Formats: sequence, structure tokens, C-alpha cells
Amino acid sequence: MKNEKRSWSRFIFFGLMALFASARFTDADFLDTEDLLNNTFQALTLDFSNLNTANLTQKSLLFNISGLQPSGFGLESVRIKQEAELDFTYQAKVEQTLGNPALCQALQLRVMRDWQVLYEGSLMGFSYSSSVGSDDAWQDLVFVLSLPTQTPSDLANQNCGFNIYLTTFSGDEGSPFTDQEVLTNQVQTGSWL
Amino acid sequence: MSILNKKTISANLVRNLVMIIGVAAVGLASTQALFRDVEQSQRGVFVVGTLDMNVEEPSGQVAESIVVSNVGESLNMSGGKTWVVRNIGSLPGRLNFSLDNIRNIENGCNEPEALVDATCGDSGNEEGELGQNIQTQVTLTKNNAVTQVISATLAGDQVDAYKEQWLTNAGNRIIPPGGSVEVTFAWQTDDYAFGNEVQSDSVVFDVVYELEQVTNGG
Repeated sequence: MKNEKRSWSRFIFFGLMALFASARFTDADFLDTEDLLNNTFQALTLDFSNLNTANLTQKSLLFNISGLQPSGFGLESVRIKQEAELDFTYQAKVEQTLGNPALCQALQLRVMRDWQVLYEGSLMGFSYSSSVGSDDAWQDLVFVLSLPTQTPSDLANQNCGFNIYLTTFSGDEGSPFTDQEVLTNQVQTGSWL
Repeated sequence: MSILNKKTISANLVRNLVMIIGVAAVGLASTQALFRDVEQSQRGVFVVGTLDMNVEEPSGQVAESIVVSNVGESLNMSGGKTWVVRNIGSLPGRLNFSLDNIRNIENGCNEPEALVDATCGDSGNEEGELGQNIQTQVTLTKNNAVTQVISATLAGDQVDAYKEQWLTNAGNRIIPPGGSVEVTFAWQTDDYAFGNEVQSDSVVFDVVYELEQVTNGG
């Protein structure tokens, strides 16, 4: 037992001696550290929605008219509401989705905001752009869709399905973020002589 | 000459020789001038050097972290932040720079993001896509000479890239006592580098400066 202790002591002693002999320099370095914590890049958000102007629920269907007659019209409204941080400029355009193109061409559209007429003309020619944000976080648009009095009878009992696409501008003047909302529409004419 | 006379002469010679040696020894001892000088240090003091640094704004104010909170406001973005690293200790130090703890966070998702990013609802640290779209450059400026040191993105797996490029391009950057160096951290994104997938995302990271004592061993 004693011999074992002695051999361990010798081993440690000579080990330390070897370590000291081989050390060229003691490496007791000083070190100072400065941290700049929580550097942050934060992305903004862009989003808008189409709402029912009466109860402010989501709205995806605008016109759903059946039996439309010459000189008849339908009236709908939508609230375009900013839902995120970034202001945006949007463009509204119409594209036919189904039905008789002649009927879609014959339909007339009037768009108003604050009782000011923003557009008046053919449905298929509708194009409009506006900005939302800063002062106004939403816009209420009123759409009046009508069939002219002199509509020929070959457009009776026809369908016209179309979408109104509202798309935010992106590119040189705007954000790389985009959003698009769609209002679907369905019009069916009645019969007349 | 008789034998008696010869002995007497020899004894005299030995006596005279001893006397000559004795006189010479006394003479040498008495004429030896020992030169000696002593200098004494009045204040023998061991002084431990200090290693200390300041990271400041170029204006001299306390350094602030980078905060960019308007990513997505325009098609691209660019900017930069400069810090002055000053050695205010008495020892020279080797400067190390690194980014640590890079976290790319989704922060939830809105409708436009959800359409293009299936994982935007996840809350993991590396779910966000913002950092991988931000290109950064670290440059050093000393006496109006600019050296580019690091080029990397802020994706979470770039921590090692920052360390390795610093080691390769500026691993021996020594700041002497009283000296300083400007470190500029610049960022930019390309046009259309990102879209709705980064909406609401954030990237958060720590900038770490170390000043390490330079020893004889290097």
C-alpha cells in the first residue's frame, strides 16, 4: 500500500516537472468581451380584406343576380380594409370567368365612393386604382351593375360570370409584398320580348 | 671555496628570495584598487498590465445595437452601422469579431404569407426566411484604408462563416494600447430578393467583440 502511494507521488511529481520543463510560456491571457445584443431586422406586413359594409364580415361574393331585365340594376358595396402595417395602392380589374361574352360586354358598371362617381362605363372596361392607409384605413366602394334599356333579346336567359380582382401594386414604387383579393360575381338575365 | 661557505651562500639566497616575495606581496596588496559601482533602484514595483476596450459609436457615444424595423417598405434595402473599437488598456490586444445566436423567427403569419410559406405558423427559431435574404459585409477601416473581411448572410447557419472569414482575413488584427479600429457592418437586399414569405419575419443576433491579450508566444 505504501509503495503504491509512493509510486503515485513520484508519477505526479515527475509529470509536473515534465510539464513545467516543456512549457515555453505561461498562457495567462487577459480577455475583454463586449456584446451588442439583440440586433434586429424586422419585416413589416401587408394585408387587406374585403368586408361586408353592413356587418363587417368577410366578403367574397359581390353580385349574384338572377332574372336581370333591361333597365334593371343591382347594387352592392364592399369595404376594402387595411389589415396590416403597410399602406398600399391597389388596382381593380374585371375578368370574365364564364357565360356569354356578349352579355358581359353589355353590362354597365358604376362605381362610387363617398357618393363620388369613380367609374362609369362598360363592366369589362373597368379599371381603377387607389391607395389605402395613412389617413384612411379603409375605403367603402358602391357598385351599381345594370343592363341597358335597349339590350337585344338574344341576351335574354344568358349568364355572365366575372371576377373583380383587387391587387396591390408592387415594384419600383412599392413593397415587395403583395396581396390580392377576389370578388366573384354571377349575373343571369331573365326573358323579355 | 669550502663546503661551509657554499652552505652559507645558499641560505642567504633563499632568505633574500623569501624577502623579495614577501615585499612584493605586501606591495601588490597595498596598491590594488578595486573598482566597484552599485546602482540601487529606489522603487522596485511589479506592475500588471491592463486589457480593456471600448466599443463606441463614431460620435463617441456608447455603442448601440442595430435595429431595422421597416424591411419590406421598399423593394430593396441597404444600410450600415459603424462601431469604433478602442483599446483603452495598457497591453496590446488581438481583436476578434463574431456574430452569435442568430435567430430567424416567423412571428406568425398573415394570409398573404400563408399562401406561399407552409411553415409560417411554426414557432421554431430557424423557421423565418428573412436572414437568408440579407447579405452582409464587415469591413475594417484604419487610417482611411478599408479592408473587407466578411461576406455572409444572416441565415442561422452562417455563424461559423463569420468566425472563419474573420480568422482568415483579420485574425492578426492587433490594436496597440490607445489605438482603435473602425468596424463597419453593412447590409443589403437585392430587388425582389424576397416576397410574402418574409412578412412579419425577424432576424435577431448578437455582435461579439473580443480583445485578447497578445503574449510572447503569439
